Amino acid sequence: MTSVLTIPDLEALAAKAVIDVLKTQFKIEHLQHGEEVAVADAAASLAGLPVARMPLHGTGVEGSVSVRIGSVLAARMLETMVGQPIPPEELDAALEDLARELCNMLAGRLSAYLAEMGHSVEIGIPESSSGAGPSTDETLQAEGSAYHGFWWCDLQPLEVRFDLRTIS
Amino acid sequence: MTVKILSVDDSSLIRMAIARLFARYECEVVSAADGEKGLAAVEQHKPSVIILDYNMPVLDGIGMLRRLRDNPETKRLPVIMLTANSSPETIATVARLGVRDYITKPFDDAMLVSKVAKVVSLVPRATA
Repeated sequence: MTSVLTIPDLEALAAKAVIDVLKTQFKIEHLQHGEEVAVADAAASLAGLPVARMPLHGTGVEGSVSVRIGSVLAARMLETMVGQPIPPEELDAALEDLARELCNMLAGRLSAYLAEMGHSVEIGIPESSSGAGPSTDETLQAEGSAYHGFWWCDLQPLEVRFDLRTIS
Repeated sequence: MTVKILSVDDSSLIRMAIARLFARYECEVVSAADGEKGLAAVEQHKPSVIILDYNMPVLDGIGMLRRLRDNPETKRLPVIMLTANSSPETIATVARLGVRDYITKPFDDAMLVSKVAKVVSLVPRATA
């Protein structure tokens, strides 16, 4: 038996997590949340890029966090972390690793916020795949997505999705 | 004696980021992608300190930590956890296993260096 977990302001928690992770780890300060008009553009430019997904399991709660990063933004984030450009032959693997690590950090922040609200949640190991994006996960859509948003940095998109359900 | 830092994390980006961060100090950084490889690296390199992730395939951070503490040669080896996992249960478990510090990802570079510097002596490399 599952139902959508009621979190009073999950969008605000998502915003807090995204801003915290991108600022602290990737030195990205100028982020904008996507407007409706830009969502179609973002989805199109993210098509085919790796999607990372992290399962969440907890006492009475389960769900997932998934992310997809625009390639130019991803290259900038990689360079910030590693300190130099990634060689072209290593770029595909690095992009997947980056998406997994970003997913890991966002899931960690979300689980910390949920812990403050009395929900004990354990994060798992993120996985990545190419092709369908977070917005096309039909199983999760059927159960109701809690937060799905696009963020922009220098016209480059970042797609973030948090899905949480209560379980009995 | 050369300071050796062992970074154990399944993310190659985190391993590279740590190598970059400590390249400015007189130390050697080695790395491993999971707990089993981490234990092998401990045996081979005899690190001065370990920066250890929690959620990893094959053998996770707590599994590696328990094996280190069960071994008389490594039971006092300084370990700093660096993980996205901030569950109070996990923090309590690793505290009982004697970790020196617990840092949650995302992490600030200067903060990680300062935590490591509390455990080993970090001398900046001379610049040309």
